[in-house]
Amino acid sequence: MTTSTTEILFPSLDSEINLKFACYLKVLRLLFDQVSSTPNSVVSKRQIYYRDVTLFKKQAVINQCIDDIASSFGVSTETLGVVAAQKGLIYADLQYYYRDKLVNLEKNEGATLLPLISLESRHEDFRFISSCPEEIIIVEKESVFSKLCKEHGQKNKILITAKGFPDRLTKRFLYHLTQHYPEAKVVALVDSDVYGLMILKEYKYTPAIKITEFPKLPITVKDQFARKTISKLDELGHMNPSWYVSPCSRLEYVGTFLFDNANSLGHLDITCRDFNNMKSFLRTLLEFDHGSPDPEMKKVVRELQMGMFFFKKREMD
Amino acid sequence: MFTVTCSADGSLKLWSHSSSDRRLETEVFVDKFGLHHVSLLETSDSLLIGTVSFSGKFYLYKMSNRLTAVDDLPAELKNEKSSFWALKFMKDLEEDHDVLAITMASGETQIYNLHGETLTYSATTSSTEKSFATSVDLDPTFKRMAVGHQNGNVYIYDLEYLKPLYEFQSYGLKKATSSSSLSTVRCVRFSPGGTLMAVARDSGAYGTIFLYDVKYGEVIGTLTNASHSSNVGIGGFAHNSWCMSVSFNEDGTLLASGGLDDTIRVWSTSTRTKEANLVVSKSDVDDEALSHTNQLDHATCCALSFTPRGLVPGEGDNDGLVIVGFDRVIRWFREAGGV
Repeated sequence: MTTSTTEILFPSLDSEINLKFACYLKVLRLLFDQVSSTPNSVVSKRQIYYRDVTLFKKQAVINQCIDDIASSFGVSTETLGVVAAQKGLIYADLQYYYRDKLVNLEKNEGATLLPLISLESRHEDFRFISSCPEEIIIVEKESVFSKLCKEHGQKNKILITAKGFPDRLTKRFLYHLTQHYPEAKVVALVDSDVYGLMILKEYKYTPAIKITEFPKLPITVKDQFARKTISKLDELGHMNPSWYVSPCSRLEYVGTFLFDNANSLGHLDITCRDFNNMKSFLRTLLEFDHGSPDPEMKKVVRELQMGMFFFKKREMD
Repeated sequence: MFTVTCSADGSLKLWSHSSSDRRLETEVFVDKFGLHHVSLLETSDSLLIGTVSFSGKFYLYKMSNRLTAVDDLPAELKNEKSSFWALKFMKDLEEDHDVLAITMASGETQIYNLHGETLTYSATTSSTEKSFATSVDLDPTFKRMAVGHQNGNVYIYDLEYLKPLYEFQSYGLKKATSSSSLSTVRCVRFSPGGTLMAVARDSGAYGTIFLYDVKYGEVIGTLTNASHSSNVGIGGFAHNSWCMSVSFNEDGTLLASGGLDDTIRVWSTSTRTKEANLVVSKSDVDDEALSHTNQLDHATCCALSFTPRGLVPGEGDNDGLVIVGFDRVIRWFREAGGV
């Protein structure tokens, strides 16, 4: 949350500011309706946006508004009953209790949107009933995801896609899923191009999951993947340390590679833009990799170097 | 006296030729981004080594008694915004006017003059070509420079005026559905004496080698692997996979080529026929780490070069070849009898 203040004086001679004021007012009204309606119901930011598209114009305006209001009240957006719209898809036979409510996912219902969970869920909020899956497969693209759904219909595998860069919900869900099934193999299928590898990094290395009970959890998070934040004193005077960890540090990169016989698609040329992105991504990776001998990281670095060396990229088939 | 190799782990290594075992003379860690191109220049008392890393930076080293970094580079070479790629030193035949050519991701090529170990910026090619400049070679006899591009074009420049003299386009396959090029230039080489130029290009998944006449700018022909099958598609291919590197021998009679198909071919430049076929055995290395890596890591040829005759004492005066592979092996070969 940011600490900067935005000052809006109404009425003003600047139409922009008046418009902004109207936005805040409208959002406040909508949020009030939301909070005072059925308890525990939620609304997505996208839904709020569609309540008055002409006023809000852009989704980003809404996101800003809601975040501002939430932080002004000192509460999380979830407390206001607002959640981000689900983006991720899941294809699995999976039964679990989330906060004592049974969630049942079945493959014969096809791929479904990832069930909503709080972004501040705790490990104990979940109780999984289904047996441990053989494999959890994370796919970059929806098209490949649907293809794999057909292939893996009978097998005890869980397929997840965030349709590109993962949103917070997908990452959070994956985190809890993999922590509850520590024996399951987790693999990623991404394009062999700079975006695919960035998505891989997002799942595997970027510490984006905030946890507050790190030591108690039955998890083995490598130290280098966890980043501790400064402890904050809460209202009751307790110290609340929290950590940031990556969604799934044991994720394996299994494809697609630049040189992979199983891939029937040809190579594509990289553009100058790709090349520069690859260069700066390589820098990010090398800076991140402070001396930890992680073979998966080597694979990613190598894939990037090869793409640059041959001036090629390749998409999943 | 050395074979110099650079690698993607960022180190530069010098392998001694003073005896047959070719021990590692010295090594230096250059850049954690990894290195991809290296070029040498022998001067009267030392060996200059230029290398480029995946971050697009150029590094210069000097080997006399020991390997030292040369930090005194012109501002143009230190420019963080330029993304360098392939490079080539040229030893001038008459005067002390050595040249370094270095290509950039933007498609341009910069020329530097070299006096002793001091580089000074000379010029940049004035070309409309925006495609990635993938390879470069210099010819000291006629003062020419050849630059190959990602889109398959090769330009021959006059080194003095840096004007393109000839443009050779790829006649290979073109994809109608996308702008993607199927004929990336992998390597350009002038023959000793500078009359011929060999160009290794992709043709889809295959590798072709074209020979050009430099003086008149004409295609002389392609080097084609003979096939008995009538099912072979368009064009003659030299390799069943991309041809990564070509090299002329000292007198220009032979051209060696190597590709991702693990085959090294030696061609006669006068008859344009295949003289020899070297199938590199992958089983000659026993490496635990290799079994866990992906397919390309088993490819045996990334780049190759002829070595001067009589280089290593006691190994005769025949032609020799050195080949570096993606399997992290350097292999030296020498001609056994007359080919």
